[in-house]
Amino acid sequence: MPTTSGATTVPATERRFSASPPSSLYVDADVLINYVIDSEPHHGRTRSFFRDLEARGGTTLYVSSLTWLEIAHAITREGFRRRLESDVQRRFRLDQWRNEQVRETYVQTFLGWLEGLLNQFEWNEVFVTDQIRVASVPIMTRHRLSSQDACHVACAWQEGVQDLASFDEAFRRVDGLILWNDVIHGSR
Amino acid sequence: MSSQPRVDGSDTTVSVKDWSSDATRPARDARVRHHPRSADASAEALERLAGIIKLNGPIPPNCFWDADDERCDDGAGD
Repeated sequence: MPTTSGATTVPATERRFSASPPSSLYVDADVLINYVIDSEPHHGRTRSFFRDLEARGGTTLYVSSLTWLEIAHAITREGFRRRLESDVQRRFRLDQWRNEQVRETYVQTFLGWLEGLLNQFEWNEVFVTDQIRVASVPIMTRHRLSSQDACHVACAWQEGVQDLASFDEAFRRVDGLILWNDVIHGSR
Repeated sequence: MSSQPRVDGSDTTVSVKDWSSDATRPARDARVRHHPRSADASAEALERLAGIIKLNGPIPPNCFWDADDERCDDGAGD
């Protein structure tokens, strides 16, 4: 892939979910979301992937502190809440969104489910430290990533993790990354 | 860690971290917090969490993370 400097970068290596899983796998928030929401387009393949990881054992999952915030942001958006099935909206009393207790119960319950998913595996949470911040910026500029995506790459690499599961197409630009996306964007 | 009442009628227990009283709280300079596999982990427990959040249809593209997309609502503060 040519860059503006004329240098060539080698894009990420993409993996199908049926491949032999790695010992360490950084998981992006979109993969976790696809598992817990059955109407998401990649729910089926993500479900099979996690089932396979659980059955095989031996894979430690990694997320970042940022992952929790990304998910909390996503589930509190009005558009997301409005798409929840009506009985779920009633159960959480989402019509009373201005009530702090309603918001707290809703967010903590959803994050609890995500933590419950991670707890099916051995997992690590990588903290967003000043070292991560320093490492993220050049990753962001070199690969034209969003700040959050660059932060995830920095978190993974700090811990020596090369394998990252995400459906985000932007990660394909990151050379050195082994991208677990079930090759949904097509092979090159 | 404290428990929250279940609100969805499922058999999934929801718990919330309270690190202020957690003796295993990471050191100030820690880079990572390690979590062993839960003693209650199982294929069945994993399967119960699959699709536990019910939405009417998929989330439109770019409407999940991008707070600046004017086509999407950003209702976190409404």
